Amino acid sequence: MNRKLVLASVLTTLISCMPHPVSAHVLVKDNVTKAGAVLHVNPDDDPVAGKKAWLFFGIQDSSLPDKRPTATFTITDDQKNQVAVPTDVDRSGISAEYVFPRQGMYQLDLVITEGGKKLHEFRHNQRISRGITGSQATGSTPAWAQAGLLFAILLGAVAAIVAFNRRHDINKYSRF
Amino acid sequence: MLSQETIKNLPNNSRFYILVFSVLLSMFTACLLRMQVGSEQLFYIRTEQIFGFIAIGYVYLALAISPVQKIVGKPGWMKCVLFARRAIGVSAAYFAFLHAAVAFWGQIGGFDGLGLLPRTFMWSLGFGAIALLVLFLMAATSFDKVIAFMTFRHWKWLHRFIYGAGILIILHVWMVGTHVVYNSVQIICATALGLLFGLQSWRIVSDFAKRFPVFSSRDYLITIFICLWLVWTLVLLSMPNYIQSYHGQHHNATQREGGHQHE
Repeated sequence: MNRKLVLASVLTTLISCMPHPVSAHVLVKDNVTKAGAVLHVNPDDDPVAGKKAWLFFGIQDSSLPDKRPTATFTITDDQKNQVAVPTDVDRSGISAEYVFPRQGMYQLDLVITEGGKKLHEFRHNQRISRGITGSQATGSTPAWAQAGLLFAILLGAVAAIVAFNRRHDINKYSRF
Repeated sequence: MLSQETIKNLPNNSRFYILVFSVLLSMFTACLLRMQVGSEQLFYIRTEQIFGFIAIGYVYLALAISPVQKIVGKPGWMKCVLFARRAIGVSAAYFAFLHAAVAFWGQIGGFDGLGLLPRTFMWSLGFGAIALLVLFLMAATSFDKVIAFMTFRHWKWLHRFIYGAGILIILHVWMVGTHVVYNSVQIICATALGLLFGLQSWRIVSDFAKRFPVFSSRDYLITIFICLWLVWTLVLLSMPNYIQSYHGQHHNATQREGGHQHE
């Protein structure tokens, strides 16, 4: 009974701590200066079409917090339809929320200006491969990957069979 | 590097199978991800993450073997595990290299991108690079001929650097690791590291008792063991207070902004 209770409480703890999708990092280069930005895409770098995605540009410009920049963020889909997305500018960077309408390739353009002067310009292509399916195919599987996978499985199976047949010799030889 | 006898006995050598397994595992992982992940960017991210995770698994295993051997002694299976440990270390170096290569050339874009990274990233990559160098040195000196050339004493001294590399790996992962912001991952990692610290503390205490027999009484040993374990575990648990996690900052920011990452 006690064991069951312990198991139940451990499972409850684990379930209550279930992960929330978080963002990883993609380095985007600036087209104006030699600055860079780390782009965080939430959830899990892999947004779902039809669901809200959070995009955050952590810009490597230490002087940016002292300025009063204006950010223009546009997203262009593979049909060349462009949408201007509202942004939040804070000390650590620029963030935006957007619902990608369907799967496909999108071009993200972020332009930061101050008093009409362009400070930074970032461009990044983001593929959306989850959620609502678009009219276009989202890419094909390369042949080398299929061949490599098959090769790894076959060679692994051969090595496992050889190791199993020689297990007594291995046991004798491979010990201190 | 390899003697005639070693080459002749390759099919009987467990290290050979571990190394073959590691190479095939890396191939399998890369090919499977390439087939499943459409986006080039995401492919690099996932590959880098999985290779890093496997490298950490191997390092953990290699570090746990010695203290476990102190506890269980040297039964037949432990002699086999001790023999295989060198291949486990080489596999750790191999996966760490793959992890670094994918991150460096795939994600960052080589030396050009290095200068564009935030300071936290630079520190973290520096720690990771030093740890990789240590793993490389250890892999390069894992041949019998090299050990004979270096003498066992010096070789053993060099291989003690793995403990420093282990600390650097913890810092590297904590500072830029994506998934360490998950509560469940933090609990699992803290438990696994707590267990490893416990095992290592026991190993240190055992060696201490051998060197200074005057302290070999059970009470002394248990007190030193508990103190060591507690200190290491407390240092680990207090790490978030003095070292910033890059993703943790942004993860907390998104939660403050309304928790829209909850699907």
